[in-house]
Amino acid sequence: MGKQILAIVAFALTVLLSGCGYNDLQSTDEQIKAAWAEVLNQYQRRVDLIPNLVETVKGFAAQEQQVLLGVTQARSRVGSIQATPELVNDPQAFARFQEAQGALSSALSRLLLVAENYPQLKSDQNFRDLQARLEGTENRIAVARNRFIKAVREYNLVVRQFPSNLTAMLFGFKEKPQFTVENEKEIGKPPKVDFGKPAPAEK
Amino acid sequence: MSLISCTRSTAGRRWFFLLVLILAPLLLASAGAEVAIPPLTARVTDLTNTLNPQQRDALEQKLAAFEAAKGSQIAVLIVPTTQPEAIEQYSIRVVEQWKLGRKAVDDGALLLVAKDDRKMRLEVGRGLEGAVPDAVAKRITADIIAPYFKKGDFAGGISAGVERLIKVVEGEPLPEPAGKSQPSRPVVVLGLVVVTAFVAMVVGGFLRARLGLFGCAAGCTVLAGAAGGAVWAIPGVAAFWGIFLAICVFILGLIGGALGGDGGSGRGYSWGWLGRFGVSAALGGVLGGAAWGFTQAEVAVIFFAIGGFFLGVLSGGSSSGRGWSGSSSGSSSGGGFSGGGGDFGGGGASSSW
Repeated sequence: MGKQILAIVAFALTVLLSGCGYNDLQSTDEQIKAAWAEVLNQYQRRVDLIPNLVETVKGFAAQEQQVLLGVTQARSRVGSIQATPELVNDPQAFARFQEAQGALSSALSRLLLVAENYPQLKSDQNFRDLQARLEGTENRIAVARNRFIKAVREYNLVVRQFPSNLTAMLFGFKEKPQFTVENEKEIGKPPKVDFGKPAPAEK
Repeated sequence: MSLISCTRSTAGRRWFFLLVLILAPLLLASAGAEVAIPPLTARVTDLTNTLNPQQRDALEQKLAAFEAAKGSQIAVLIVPTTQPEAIEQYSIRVVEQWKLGRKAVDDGALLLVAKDDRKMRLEVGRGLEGAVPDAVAKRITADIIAPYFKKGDFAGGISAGVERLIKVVEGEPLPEPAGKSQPSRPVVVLGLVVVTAFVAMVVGGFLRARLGLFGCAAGCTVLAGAAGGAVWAIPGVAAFWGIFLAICVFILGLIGGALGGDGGSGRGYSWGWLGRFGVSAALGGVLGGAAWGFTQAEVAVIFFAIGGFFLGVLSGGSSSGRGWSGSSSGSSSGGGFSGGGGDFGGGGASSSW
């Protein structure tokens, strides 16, 4: 009889624990992982586009050595950072990663700005397609980052709010770093890469 | 969808909403007032009255025929402006709400035209990114549609663009359009019925037999708490239903105890296993269904189906589950249009004219 009561109590405890946000912690944590994987995926997609883009621009504007070099260097810097899923748990590595991707973004927009001066390049179908793919990828990055921000926000709320914060403490769930707020506005809209008008000033 | 599943905000999650309420203005401070997303009622939504009824109907029919043949959902939305948001931001918000395309196939697409901004965007669902890569989407918008728009021929541009998009998607091998058969709901509810009723009755009866009335009540309290907690922990289910289920389980357990009699001494009102199980199954069906977010009609159908079945069993006849016949009411298919649950990842292209 005592055993049976014990079993019932154990069962109730298990269920009550899930009522205290343990399951919420697990599912939001899993969401972050998925969202982060998507962010990495889209950044990788951008990196993969670069050699082709650089080659195409070179064909028409080989004299723009510096800009082309800038893109290649920024790309290799991005490549040197191990973009693992664990990055989300390490605020410093996370910041480095963000910074490298940001540098690549500005190198790319410089390249596209320069392309503005080459009418032949601009009307090249291959370049136009690459440009469309780059625009699309930048937009995918923006969407993936926004979803990641939402996922982290949700998770951090669970970690901090009562009573699930107790559960989080008990099981060692920590707050995760967020994409920094000062560039959140900038993340929201994809960088302008159309050449019809003057591009926005780069910071 | 039922109304029940949409109401999430109750005690347990109130803090979350409070925090969101406090944080939201801070985060959106710079965003200002965003353009509202119109409800999805038709494939072609024109908020600017640019298309005349004939043009709209023709387009609507073309898109409907394509969905019937290929399964892919394409929608057109014309708004005056997306300011202060960029067209890409507005567009992704629209498709996140509309969920065009089939679930897990993600074969939706949206042609968004912001007339006064002189901008358009072809938003492509994840499943169509292979057939319609960004470069193709760019060509459709910039090379096919934009020339029409420049001349002021919006109907012609949209029609030509959609036609081209359809042609491109047609070449893509997609799953056959299904006859919309989704048997999962009755299965889910049956599972809930059986588990809830069985556990409550068996444990109630067992506790009564072993521990007497007080033990039974105590056990039922624990069990009720456990069941309520479990339901509450399901994401998307409001705390109210957890509490509701807890109370019902408590009562069911007590009924189980009462009907179970004390240790098989054979009281007069013992209905036998099937009878007890039947009553509690019907009750369990109702509350399980309610907790899962069913419409009242669905719960009623299940209730009568199970009640009828067990009444039949009890009376010795073989009523083969009357009431099931009308159970598959399914989703709306009369006139309206709704997204199939497709996912978008930001693919596509924007152009201006």
